[in-house]
Amino acid sequence: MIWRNSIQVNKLGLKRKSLVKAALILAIPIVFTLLVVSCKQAEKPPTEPAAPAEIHEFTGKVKVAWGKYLYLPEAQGFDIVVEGNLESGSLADLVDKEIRVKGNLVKDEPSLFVADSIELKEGENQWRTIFTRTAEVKLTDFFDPDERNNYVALNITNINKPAEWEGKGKVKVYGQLIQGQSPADYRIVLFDSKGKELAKIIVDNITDYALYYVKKLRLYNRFWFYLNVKDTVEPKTRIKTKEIFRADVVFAGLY
Amino acid sequence: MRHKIARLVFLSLFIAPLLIAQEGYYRYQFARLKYVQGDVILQTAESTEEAAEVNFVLSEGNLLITRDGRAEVSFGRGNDLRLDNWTKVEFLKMPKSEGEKTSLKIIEGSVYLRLKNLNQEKEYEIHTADASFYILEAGLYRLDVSSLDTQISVLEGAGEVAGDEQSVILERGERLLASRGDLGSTGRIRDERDSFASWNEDREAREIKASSRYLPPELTEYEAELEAHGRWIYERPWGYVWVPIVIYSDWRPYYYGRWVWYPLIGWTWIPYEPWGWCVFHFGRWHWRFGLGWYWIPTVHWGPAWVYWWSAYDYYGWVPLSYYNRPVVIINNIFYDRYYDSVYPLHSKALTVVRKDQLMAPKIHEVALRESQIVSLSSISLRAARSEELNSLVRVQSGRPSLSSQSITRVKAGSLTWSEENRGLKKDNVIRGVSSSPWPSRQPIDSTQLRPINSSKFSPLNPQERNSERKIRKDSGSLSGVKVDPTRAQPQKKEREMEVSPSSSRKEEDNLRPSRLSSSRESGLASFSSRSSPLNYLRTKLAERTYPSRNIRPSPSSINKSSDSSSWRLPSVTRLPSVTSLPQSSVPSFSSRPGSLSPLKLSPPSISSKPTGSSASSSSAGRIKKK
Repeated sequence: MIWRNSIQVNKLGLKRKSLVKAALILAIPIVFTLLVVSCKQAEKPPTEPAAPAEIHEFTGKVKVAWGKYLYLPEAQGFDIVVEGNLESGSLADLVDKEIRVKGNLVKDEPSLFVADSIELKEGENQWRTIFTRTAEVKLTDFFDPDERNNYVALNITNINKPAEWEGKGKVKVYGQLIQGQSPADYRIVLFDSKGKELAKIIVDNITDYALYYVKKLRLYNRFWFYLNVKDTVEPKTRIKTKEIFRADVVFAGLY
Repeated sequence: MRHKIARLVFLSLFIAPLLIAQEGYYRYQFARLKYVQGDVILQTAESTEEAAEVNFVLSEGNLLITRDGRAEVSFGRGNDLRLDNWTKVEFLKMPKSEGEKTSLKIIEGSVYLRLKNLNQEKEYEIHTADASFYILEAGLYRLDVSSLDTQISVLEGAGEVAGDEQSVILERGERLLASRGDLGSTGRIRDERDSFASWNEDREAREIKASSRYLPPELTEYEAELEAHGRWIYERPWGYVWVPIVIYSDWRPYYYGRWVWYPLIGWTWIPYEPWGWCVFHFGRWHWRFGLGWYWIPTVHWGPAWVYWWSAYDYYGWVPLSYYNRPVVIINNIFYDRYYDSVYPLHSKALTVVRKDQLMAPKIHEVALRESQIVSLSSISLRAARSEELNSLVRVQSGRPSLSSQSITRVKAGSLTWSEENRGLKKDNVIRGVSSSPWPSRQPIDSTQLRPINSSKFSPLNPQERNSERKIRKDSGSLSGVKVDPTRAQPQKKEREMEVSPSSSRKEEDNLRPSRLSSSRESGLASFSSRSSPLNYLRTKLAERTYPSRNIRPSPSSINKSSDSSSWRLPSVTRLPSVTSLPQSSVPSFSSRPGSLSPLKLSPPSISSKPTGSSASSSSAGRIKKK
């Protein structure tokens, strides 16, 4: 019995060996093929990320808050959008306070990070939820960077040459925003090549996003303003006040 | 085969000269702020003032001001200028090609000038309100400029002091007091040591005599600092490469520092690593799994050897490889020749910032983290255009100083750009050079320079200089030597000549390539256009013509290379280096090499509408893995 068993064992062993051999013979070309394919793939870096990691959370001190936009330096490269009201207080109250924002990027506007929830730090390891998003994000005043291409730089040389701005529609000018007592007093001051005041543009409307940017880039005092040109100011007033036309400001930025 | 040979010959004959002609910057045109202690201010030609930092680039027209602080400026080749507290030095002229002079103006304060290598007599000249001083030999010089007079001391070497009516040669151990053009008699230097002298000695002691073990002779002066902050290893096929010792896990080249706009150069990387000057303005960065980033030395200076990308509201940049292609690191595989028009977002070599944060004082603080970059999956990074990059310039010139808020700008208006930009042609849009041929900030105060009448001592040719000096020596008369008045040129005229594009172009004809496959570098470093078929041919030519660089530390090879650097190129037209800009953005100037004069270039029109990238598709997908 023992002998036979051993024969059987040997037979089985032989069978196994032959199976392994066959498997090896089959596997070698497969492995080789796989190697070649993988090497070929490795020669070209994948242009699409394998699994894009989503950003979920930023923690830091709020530097600027205006309209529904927050600037958190820790959220490098993004503007945070808060759609809806806080449980108490306004967004502006969060300036210089430490918060934790959870949310996601807007797919079509990758520079925007939509806050799903905001927690306010109230003590060591103590966070209080002050915002939970319930509404859909409406980007009514957001200015798409690609839109910049549609705005032509305005070349104002003289306030008595209305042809330089009339009928232009979407334009951009480089100047300084003078904020008056009320939004009705807002003016954009244009300068000539010597730095002297050349003209002023009456700001009828300015978007929160534009004002958010002016505040965010607080180290700068002059910006590119993206405007929708409206009515020309009367010649007499123009000479007196240097105000040349009315416009809606849709964005202000460094370029 | 015949076709191949014929093509190669064709390329060598017709294309290669163009490639060589597109050599970049003259490396001694820009000085390095090597050491800063205390309150030091840099005032640029655009009238902006900024707290000076180590590795700042100093160019013609800059004014370096020390308040309660000291600074050391390196001109290269071991030539340094050291400034005491409350000193003002203006960089009147920096050499744009071999043989040109460095001209400084000490407005007030004290300086030491340590010159270790001079190519010619009077290569360095220092002007003050009281006299002009022309350096004749390598040595150590001190100038103390007060509101009343200037004391010039020659601790080592020799120099010629020029006043209203005479010039005096000062030799080792001699000093002279000059006041408003009147030169006093020479005397021996007193053995008085002030704190500035002690500090100078301290700085001198730090100057370790570097051995040229790994670096080419042109970069020998950086050997010590690289030795201290990294190690050299032998890496095929490059030879000895330098591996930095870094403590940050996210460290990568061109990440810890900032971008600064210089009108004469363009966007320039200011590294925060104290050793960064050499490795970010020369050479190329590569990466290998198990080793990390390593630096391959080459000898051409550039503001930053990076490739720019742009998408949506973001700019990105990656180091250029030795082949002057953007590098890619994905899944621990390094690609040194990336040709696709869209850059992969998950490459570890990539740094991305929001466009309005390009000028942030600390790039690493505003740069998107790796996970954030990957989150931008909906955007495609394409080659950025120079017009787009340069459009930020105007804003930068108009911004208040970031580092020193208390400092007010000298000139409030910065809108001159718009006027200047309007008439620009696309060909000129390379890297934004001030349209003003001479920095407009501070014209030379003619009333200060007039009494000196330094222009009387216009440069002589070396033979004349030697003979003249010999006569003075032989006659034993060191002081009171009269200078031939026929050589006198009005200062204004002299300056006009300095800025004349044609004259500068002539002088630029004498550009000399450095060793270490310099021609290869110069050729590859200046592609005209990615979309151009010429570009492809250049790449091919470069890849075929020049084998891999291989630096050996043996002295014989170094000497050999050194010798090879003495040949001169025929009729080289200096063009601004474009390697700091995306190659796609560079207009094809190879067809009109003479059409560009660096002095005439102006920043691009900011009013021009960005039209998106013009990345090449002809070469898409051709990747060579290392």
